[in-house]
Amino acid sequence: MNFKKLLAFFLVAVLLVVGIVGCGPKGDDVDQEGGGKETEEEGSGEDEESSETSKYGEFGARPERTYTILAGNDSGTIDLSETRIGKLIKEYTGVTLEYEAVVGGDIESKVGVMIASGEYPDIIWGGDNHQKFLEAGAAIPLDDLIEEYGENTKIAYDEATLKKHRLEDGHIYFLSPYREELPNITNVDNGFWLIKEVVKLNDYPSTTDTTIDEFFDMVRDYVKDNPEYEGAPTIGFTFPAWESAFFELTNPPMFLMGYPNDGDILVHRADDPEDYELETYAASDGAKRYYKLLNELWHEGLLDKEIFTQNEEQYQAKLSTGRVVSHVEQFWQFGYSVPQLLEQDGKDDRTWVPFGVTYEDVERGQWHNAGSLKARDGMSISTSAEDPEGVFIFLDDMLSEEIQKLYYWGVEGEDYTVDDDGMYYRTPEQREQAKDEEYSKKQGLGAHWWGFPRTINDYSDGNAVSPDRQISEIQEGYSESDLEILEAYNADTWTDLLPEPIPAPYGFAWDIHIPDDSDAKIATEKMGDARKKYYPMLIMEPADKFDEIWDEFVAEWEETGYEVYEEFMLDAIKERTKAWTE
Amino acid sequence: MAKQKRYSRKTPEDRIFDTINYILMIFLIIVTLYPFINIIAVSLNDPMDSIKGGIYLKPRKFTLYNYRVVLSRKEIYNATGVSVLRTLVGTALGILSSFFVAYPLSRKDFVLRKPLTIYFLLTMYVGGGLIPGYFLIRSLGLLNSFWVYILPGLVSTFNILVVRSYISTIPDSFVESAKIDGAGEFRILFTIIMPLCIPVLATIALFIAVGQWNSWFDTYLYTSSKQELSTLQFELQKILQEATQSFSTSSDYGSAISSGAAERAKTITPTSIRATMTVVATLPVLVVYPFLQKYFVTGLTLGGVKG
Amino acid sequence: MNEFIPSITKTGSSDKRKKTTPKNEKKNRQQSPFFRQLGRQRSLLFMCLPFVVLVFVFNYLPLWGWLMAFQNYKPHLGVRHSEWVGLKHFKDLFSDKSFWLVLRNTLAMSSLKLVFGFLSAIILAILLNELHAKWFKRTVQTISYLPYFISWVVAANLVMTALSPEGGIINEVLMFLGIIDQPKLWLGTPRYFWWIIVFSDMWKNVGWNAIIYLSAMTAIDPELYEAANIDGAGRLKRIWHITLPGIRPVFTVLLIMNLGWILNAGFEHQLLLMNPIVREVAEVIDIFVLRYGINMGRYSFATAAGIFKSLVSIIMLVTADLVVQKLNGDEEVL
Repeated sequence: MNFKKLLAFFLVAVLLVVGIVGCGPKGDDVDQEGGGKETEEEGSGEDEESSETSKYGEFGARPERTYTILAGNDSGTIDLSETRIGKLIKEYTGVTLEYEAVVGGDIESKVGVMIASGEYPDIIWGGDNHQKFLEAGAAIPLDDLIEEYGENTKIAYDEATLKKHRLEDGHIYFLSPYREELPNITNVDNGFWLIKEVVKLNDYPSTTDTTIDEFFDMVRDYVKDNPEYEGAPTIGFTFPAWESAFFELTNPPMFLMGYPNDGDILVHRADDPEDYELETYAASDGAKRYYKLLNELWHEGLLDKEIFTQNEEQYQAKLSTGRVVSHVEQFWQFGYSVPQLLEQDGKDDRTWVPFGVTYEDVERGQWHNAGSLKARDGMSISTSAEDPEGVFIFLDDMLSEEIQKLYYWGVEGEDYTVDDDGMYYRTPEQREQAKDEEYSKKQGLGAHWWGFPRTINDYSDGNAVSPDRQISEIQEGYSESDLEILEAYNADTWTDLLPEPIPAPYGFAWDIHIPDDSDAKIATEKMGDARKKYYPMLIMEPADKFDEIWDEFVAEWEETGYEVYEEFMLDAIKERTKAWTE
Repeated sequence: MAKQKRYSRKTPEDRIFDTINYILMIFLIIVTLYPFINIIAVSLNDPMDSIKGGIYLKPRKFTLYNYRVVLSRKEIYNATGVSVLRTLVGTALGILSSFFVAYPLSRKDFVLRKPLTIYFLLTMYVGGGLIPGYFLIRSLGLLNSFWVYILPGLVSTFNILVVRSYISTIPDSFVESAKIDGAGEFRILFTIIMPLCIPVLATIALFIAVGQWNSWFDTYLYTSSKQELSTLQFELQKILQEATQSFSTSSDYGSAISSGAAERAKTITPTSIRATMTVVATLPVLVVYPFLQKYFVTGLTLGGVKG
Repeated sequence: MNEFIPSITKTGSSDKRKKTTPKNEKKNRQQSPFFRQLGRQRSLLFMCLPFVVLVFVFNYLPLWGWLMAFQNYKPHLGVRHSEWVGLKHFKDLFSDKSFWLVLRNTLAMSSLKLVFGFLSAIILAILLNELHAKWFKRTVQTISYLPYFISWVVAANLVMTALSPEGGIINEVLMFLGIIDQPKLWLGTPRYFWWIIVFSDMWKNVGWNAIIYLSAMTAIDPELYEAANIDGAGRLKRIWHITLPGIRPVFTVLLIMNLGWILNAGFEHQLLLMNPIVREVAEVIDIFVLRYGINMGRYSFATAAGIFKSLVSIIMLVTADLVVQKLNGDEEVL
């Protein structure tokens, strides 16, 4: 009986199979092969009939084309053409995009097989893996295209900016979306964060001149008086230290010594780039002092016990209880969710104020990032693109004011409102709906266009490029308790609390790409290993063992090959400085 | 059940054994059921609220938002169809292939038994890697074809050996008497071996089906540019990816690349999406499972057939 | 009693030879005995031939990729144009001192997983088999395999929450029982890490792994249990003399297969649960290869490591097969 059923199941399944073999994929396959391209060809076919100059028509009346695209670290999974803004963009550009989805955080495999097979989508942006495309010669030079068709590009990326894009051979192969020439004015990028309650108790201490010892004195005193918060122990100090956020443990000495964020190195600049010097600081006295301090905090019980065992989720959960008095990390690690949660629970006083803490003898902390273009990767047109002009015209169209407004601000009347003076603002409802990701996804607003070339220029009508640069909008985004603190410090935005950042002529050292499979790359991995092995020990082992472990660490550090890395970076920074400033 | 009754006269040893057994089983139920209850609770909880943690057995701030996010994607419906189809076809063919290989290899008189066993066995331990694999699929014309879900993994040595070891417990006299009746090997396989192997057939059916149902990497590598062939798990992976994409980090040093609007809060979080997709992807398996389970938990026994 | 099944098997196979031989004798008179035999068994060969071909295409053809291990392979150059470097990547691999460390970790964790994984699955299958109430048996079985469907990302979070020193259930229970007097930092103590991996792996997979034994147990003749019962054998005795021998064939095969995977100790699992404190004991080969190979675009290095793993697997298989054969008498296993 049962076996008969099973047999029936088989037969059905086999029939299905036969059915598919007979009429299914085989036929489709052929279609598929040419699928995307056919449309393209149709497009270009039509064009050839019209005259050469108007081949692609006018902005807003372009011929319909379909391009394939690989976009970035992990974007491009939703069908943008289905969104409200996507449809508007299509009206302007005539382009339908077919995304190569990247999932599971695994872009390496995708890039690997694309390069091996030599078949690329029309538009490629490999994020951190983009250099692999460049190394493989998968991207075409854009110089001539920019010259000929780059009306908007030349405005959005001026000569000085384009220069930073040039590779060694002098050509431009991509347009960087990392337009951070203008520093963030909404939020402080980085700092020691201290809860508002303690800031008020200490009568608004200076956020620029507080030394690290003074900072922890405040924390210590507060925890002594308030050992518990809502029935759970108060946590004096914490920071992210899981695998992918380990830099939050290794970076602070750099800032404490007064240097800007250059990753693993301190760069000693000079007038002539040839005189630049640099050094890693992981085994320096400045670092030793910081870890010694953490060791003390650990044994005092001020440091979070779970610091090395928690993951991001548990860490965020902890921050959002309001028990954490202070922490050190980049704003984006927590700033987009935790403060909102605390405010929702009426715990405004448990959100944090950034402190640009340094060692005593340091004149000026550089916690907040200076503005700089990041130029390691961006969007390229691939060698497989059959219609590079058409693709470039599309990318250039994306830089038009109309489209930039669409993806920074949204649709007028839906996502923002225009006042009588022609200035843009958002009603509270519009601001709320922009926060709802389900809405922004349907609308196609914001992040979903990330990766396309973008402008940083304000619009010709005087509006700021994006809501987060419109002062009125920034202040609307702050909570009451934020404004109270800002007022006490006599500041407009959080960034006023820290010293003005000093831009470096080479941008950021960590923005420099270290080639895969190079000794310098292997050295960075080894350097990471050594620190991951010893730093936790330095912090958790008894204080009297500290020096002994430190010596062991230094010995191991010497074997990591960090000199190779230093050498590589020094050359690269010199090169970059010369190329960017000449 | 009948067999249990026949020796249900309880000795003290039985009582102790049963008591311990029940205690252990109840403990097992608790530790294995909890994660699923927890996941359901998280999937029904407000995603922002879930960041605070502390959700255990029931949602704290009930919402269907997560399910709306997942189920409102119209792509997942077609993808579910493809997943069902690949599961059915893959399982049917997978079972056939396992038996077609396992039966000859189970025959001790088969001259190629040893070499073929080794031939199949080695496939479990060697692999050419990602790029050669991709080239192969491409040169066979399997890119963007439904068959790429079925063919590469069709022969599973693991299943073959499991089936073979089961067949080996069937007395050879069965095969013998069939031969005397003039049955060919195919007929022996279908009419004698397979009916006796239903428990193991159900078991490998489950293994293959679950493997097919859960896989998404082949979709990702080989058919991702053809939406009609997308699978449920792949679509779920896409939704998850979106949830993690709110802002991406570009470097080892964690420079922030805030995406678009600066004040974006997270209303779709990876934690909540992951919980929701686990529920969405697992429920169908749970529904189908009992139909297979009866064959190996309280299934037919050889003894019965033999008698 | 436990000899029942094998003994019939043996007589069966010897009988058969006699009976089938005369049939095709004429046709194959001039061929060697091997081909004569094969000719008689051609329907067996035809049965599996399509799959032999399939396996050749999908599993053996791509092995040309192993050439990469002897090159500095660059995807855009392909194997044809990449630079040949001989055994460089193998030398790099073996001379890296972290390699031996991760090898140790891999072996330790996978052996522990092997032992405990097998034991737990078999014990669970036996205990399920001994349950009387059918509904309860099916319920337990259904629930126990649920964690298998939870991805490691989600499962790791649950494990971390359970082991947390701040209100984690494990610490709470142990403190309640008075076994420890203050919460322990389980995940922050290197000597516990392997066990955490082993037990969480067991928790996640035991129900799933037991299925295969349950199905094997259905092949056991209930008359054997009855006979044992009449002989007055107790529960444990019956398990020992009937159930265990009944699942021996599948157990042996699984054991040998798993020994071949001795260098696969998991990957995501460790990656998600490890932290800087336990790195030294947590990192396994696959993580090492990911970091120093794939993530750096060093395909060749990764391939070399893959070849090494394959070789170890093959050596393990051959050894395991020999040992098991010896233990089993002359009965062939593979």
